[in-house]
Amino acid sequence: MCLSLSCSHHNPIACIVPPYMLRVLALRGDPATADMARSLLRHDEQMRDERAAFTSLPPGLQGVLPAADPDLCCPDRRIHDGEFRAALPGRLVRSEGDGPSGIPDADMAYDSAGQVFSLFAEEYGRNSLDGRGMPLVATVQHRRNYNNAFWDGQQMAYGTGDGKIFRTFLELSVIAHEMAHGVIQHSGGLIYENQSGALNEHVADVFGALAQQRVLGHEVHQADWLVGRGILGPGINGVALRSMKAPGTAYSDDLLGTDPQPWHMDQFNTTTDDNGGVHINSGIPNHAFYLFCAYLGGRSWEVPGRIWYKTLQDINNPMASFSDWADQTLRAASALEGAGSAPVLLLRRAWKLVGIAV
Amino acid sequence: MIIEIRSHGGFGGITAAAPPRRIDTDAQPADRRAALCAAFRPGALSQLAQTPCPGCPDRMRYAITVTEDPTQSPHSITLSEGQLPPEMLDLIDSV
Repeated sequence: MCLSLSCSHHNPIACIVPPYMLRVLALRGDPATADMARSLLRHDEQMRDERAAFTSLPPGLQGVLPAADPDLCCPDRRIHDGEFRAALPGRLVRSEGDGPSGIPDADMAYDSAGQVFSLFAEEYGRNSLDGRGMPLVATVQHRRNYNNAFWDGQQMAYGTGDGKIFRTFLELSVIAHEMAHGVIQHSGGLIYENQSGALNEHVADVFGALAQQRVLGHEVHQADWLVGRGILGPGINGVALRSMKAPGTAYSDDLLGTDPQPWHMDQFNTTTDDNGGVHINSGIPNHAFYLFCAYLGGRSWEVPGRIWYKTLQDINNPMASFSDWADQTLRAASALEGAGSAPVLLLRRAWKLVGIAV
Repeated sequence: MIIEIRSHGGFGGITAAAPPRRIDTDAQPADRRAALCAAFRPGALSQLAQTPCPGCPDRMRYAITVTEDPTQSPHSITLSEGQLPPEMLDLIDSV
């Protein structure tokens, strides 16, 4: 089907390749192909009245897994002070090996980045976000009263919150979540819309929770399974931004409304907001991961974390659906733990309980 | 010029994270009015929409409606935070 109907320049790719394939080319093509695909996507988007359709990955990403780095050793952290402005990265306030900067947010970002680096390095053999030791660049005090944190394709940025709705974004599960977006990007990527976008959010939540649990030494039943615990403002009725154990229960507040996350496919939310509900429907695979960990017991960053990490490395499908992801987790579990093993059986049960047949 | 900005997305994926803003440029000091009118000119916004979004995870999305002349239709566009230059974001934050 040709969706790029106004091919004034008669580019055959524009007429043949549908937008979803262009997004993959933009994600994985060589620089020239990626540029062309992005250009055609822009053209197509204009035609479709600027409906949102962007890939989550920066230009030039080849989509291949990084080779194992024999020099895996230590993080290279570079923390900047945004000084409440939007320009990135801002003023460098703490480099690797430096003592505390005296800026609490910067020191928290520094310490947490080290803990997240350790999770990926020591548990999964990954050297930084790209697998090749890239510097961990972060900006704190980004913009004024800014209620957000994000990964921009090259670095992390954290607002301070406005003190009312959010009091901070410097919390380990949030920091690990943002850094995990970098790992996802450098592992082939998951396009940031609809189900693949919700998987992108899900994987970031998983490693956010696992980083927190590993630092605290919490086994599955000791862990709170919250993402962003304590970041909501003092007047907000809620404990966190999301709950993997009980999606939909993290907050219920006059201003924020009720946590909209579903835990079962029967409540899948179809919306055009939030890139197709990527922060909403991630509750479904989040809960499947929690159930799997609960069935298995023990340290969730070990067997479950390794299965999810391998799935991310192996899935090779930036437009993966929940079903595709679930199938791949079973393949990863079989490869790591053995076909017919208890983890494989329990994993299948976890997916079934959230309404995803595998 | 009336500028209305509604945001969604972000790490929390909640609309309330950034309350809707309505900016009447006539009510702004002269230098800020000039900066706002230049930055939010419909042509300028359309140009920004062509900027590739280098990385969208957890970025805010801004639904912007600009009314230049009340007798004509407003201009509406949705942009990712990543498509807006830092100067423009600072301008939004300053109002």
